[in-house]
Amino acid sequence: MRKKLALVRTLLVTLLFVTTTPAAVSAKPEGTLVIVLATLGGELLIPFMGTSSNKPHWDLLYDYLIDVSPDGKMIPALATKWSASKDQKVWAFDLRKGVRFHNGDEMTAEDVKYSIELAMRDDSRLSRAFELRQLLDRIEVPNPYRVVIHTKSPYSVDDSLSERYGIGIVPKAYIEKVGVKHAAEHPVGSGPAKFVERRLGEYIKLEALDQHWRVVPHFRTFILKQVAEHTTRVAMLRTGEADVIDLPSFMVDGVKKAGFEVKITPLSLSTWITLGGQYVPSNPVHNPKTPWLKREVRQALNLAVNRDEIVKYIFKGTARPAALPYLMPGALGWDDSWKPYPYDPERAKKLLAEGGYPNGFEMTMRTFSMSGLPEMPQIAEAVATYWAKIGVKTKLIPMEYVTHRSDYQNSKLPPVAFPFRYSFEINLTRQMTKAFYSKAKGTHAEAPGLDKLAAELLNETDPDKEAELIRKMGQFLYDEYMVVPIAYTSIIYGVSKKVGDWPLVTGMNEAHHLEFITRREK
Amino acid sequence: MARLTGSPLDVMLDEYATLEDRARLGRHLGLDEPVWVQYGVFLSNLLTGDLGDSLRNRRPVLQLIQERFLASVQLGLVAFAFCTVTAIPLGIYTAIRKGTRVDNIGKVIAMLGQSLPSFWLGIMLIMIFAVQLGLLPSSGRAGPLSYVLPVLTLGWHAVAGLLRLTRSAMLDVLDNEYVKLARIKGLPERTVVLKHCLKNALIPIVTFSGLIFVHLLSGSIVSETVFGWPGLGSLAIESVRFRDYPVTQGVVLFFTMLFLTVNLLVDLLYAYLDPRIRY
Repeated sequence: MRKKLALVRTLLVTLLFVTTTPAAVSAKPEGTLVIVLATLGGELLIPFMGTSSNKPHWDLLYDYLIDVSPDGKMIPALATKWSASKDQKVWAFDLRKGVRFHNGDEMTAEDVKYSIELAMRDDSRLSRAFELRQLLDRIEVPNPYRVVIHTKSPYSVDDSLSERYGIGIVPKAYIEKVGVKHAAEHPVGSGPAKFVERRLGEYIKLEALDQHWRVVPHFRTFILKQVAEHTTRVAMLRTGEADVIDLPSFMVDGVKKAGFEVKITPLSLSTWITLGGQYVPSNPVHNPKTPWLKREVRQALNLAVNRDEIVKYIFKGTARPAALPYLMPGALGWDDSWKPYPYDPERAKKLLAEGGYPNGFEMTMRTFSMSGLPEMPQIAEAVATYWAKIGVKTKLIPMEYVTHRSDYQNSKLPPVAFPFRYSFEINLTRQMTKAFYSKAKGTHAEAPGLDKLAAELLNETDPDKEAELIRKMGQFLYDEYMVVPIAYTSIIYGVSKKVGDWPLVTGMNEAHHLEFITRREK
Repeated sequence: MARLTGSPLDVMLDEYATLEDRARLGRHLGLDEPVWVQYGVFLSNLLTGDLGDSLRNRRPVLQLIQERFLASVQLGLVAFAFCTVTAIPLGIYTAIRKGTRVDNIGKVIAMLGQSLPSFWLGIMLIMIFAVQLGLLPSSGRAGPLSYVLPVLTLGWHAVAGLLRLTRSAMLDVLDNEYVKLARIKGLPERTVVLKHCLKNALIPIVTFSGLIFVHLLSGSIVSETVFGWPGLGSLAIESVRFRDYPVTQGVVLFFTMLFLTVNLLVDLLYAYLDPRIRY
């Protein structure tokens, strides 16, 4: 009897263990997921070598210190916890133990230090490379599972090391042994999928691991392809040659009509029209005759734009009207009272008259596309059409962004308007103190009131006070109609009937979290 | 090219990069040197077969060209075969049957081939044969069936031109006295056409075929973009788009060498076809 009870007890414990097994060792991956995107960013397989447009495959190959949850919050990844000193100049990260690279080596603090140093190399193309070079003082490794980073001034280094900016952790011993060139062709990471092969210009093939601390993918094989033509990508989705594609907004209706689901990364980009030339009088290119130096004119230009129509017809309902540049719901300092300006062309005309332009005026707008938002020229055309209705005749000058960039980056813009966009970020201190501070380069608008707030923000280390200063800058921009906000847009993907859930992250512009895609239940 | 379109640093760098960052990357890539110095370095490296490294892919340009050229050659050779096998016989036949229904059909094929934009044609073929009928793959390079639509898109324009040229060249020759004599002598029509007419009409056909061959081998930007074909054409357009100067330079140099080589071969072929031509 006792033996029987012992046997039953054993069976029950075993059953309990099996049913509570962590996800990392659950069902094995099977099947293939084909992801076809407009660009794979040069297909660079080691993080520091390319920009974040390589993130789709980096996310599968590598792990990051800090991940980002779908609602945009930083969550532990390779760093199980982290903390900052009061002055935000010393950051300590405790690392997850037992993480192995695909070649069997254990991930330690030396690998983290090495990866960050690679990201700071002279030839690094990562977007946060520049900031890290400017602001990082030194990296210490007090023990194999702890990294301490010292910065030269207060800096949210955790944000820069999150998955948003692509600083994946690479194996130091492997790369030093084989060299960067060899490692770039035969990458080794610690991510949920390992490298199988790459045919440049055709595909990158990765294979899922059966066990991983982050997630065990549902699919065994990931094939990432690059096809520049969007019509072809849609055709591939419809013929079953692709399971995930990225889509411009004007193709959404067609994909839905064909019976495919569309997945959206919410609040990816904030887009607006900058009224260039709003410099402080001390700037040599300041032109006092610029019409929109007057608040009434700026307000008129804003009230003349029908943002709901733009969202409906250009973005096919996948965006929402914006209230401000840069700042989006969920960002530090966001205020829910900021609503998009109303559409009121009659009042706009009256305001123009009050501003001294009863018959309107002529102006120029440069138009170009920027990555992630091919609709920018259409937005510019739509806005020009709205402005024409209140008497403001806009001459559109198409050009490439890089041609426009040097004028804008050197704060030497003539009084021209231009569209712009920026990705979602939680902490916009860096942007606000560059875009709206006359002592910085590449400003979108300047004003003494903004300068005072920006100068305070630059030196603020208390997060609550930081948020309040950003909110005040946002309020100033809102009350003074400094730019013409248009929309908060999304990144759109079409998916096949194979794809179930896909936890997309607010504000992430590249295809990401492919490892978390589940198989749709039949 | 560098001064007209802007520095590649503008494309590579984050918009918040400082001037120091720009200078650092420029030094690393050698872009801080005067244009004439950069050109000199390029020429001296060229003598050793070094075309530099791609700024975007960070691999040797020569290696990139070699990899992509293979894809273009595969597509180009099949397209060339399709073009010559279709256009030359059809051109001969329409010349012989001038004014008949067959001739009119040939004219329509030629007209459509020369007037339909290849971009539109490629997309239409994908929509009909891949999406609606499900008979062929829409893109990529996997298996014999994946060649059909890109070859049709790439080759139809060439077929149109070659067909018209062949027809025109044959009509010129068919009117000659020696052809009439050959017929009077009782030679079979097949012999008259193929031996006496075609051989004399071949010079312009071969010249044009050589040009088509280079064009098809070097890859069509439009067809490769539409079908996602990883050839030299798509490499060229990517390099222009991302201001990858070393790759653009390398591809242009390569196309030039290819063109000169094929031209030379065509010139040598003249001597074989026409004994009167001697060098």
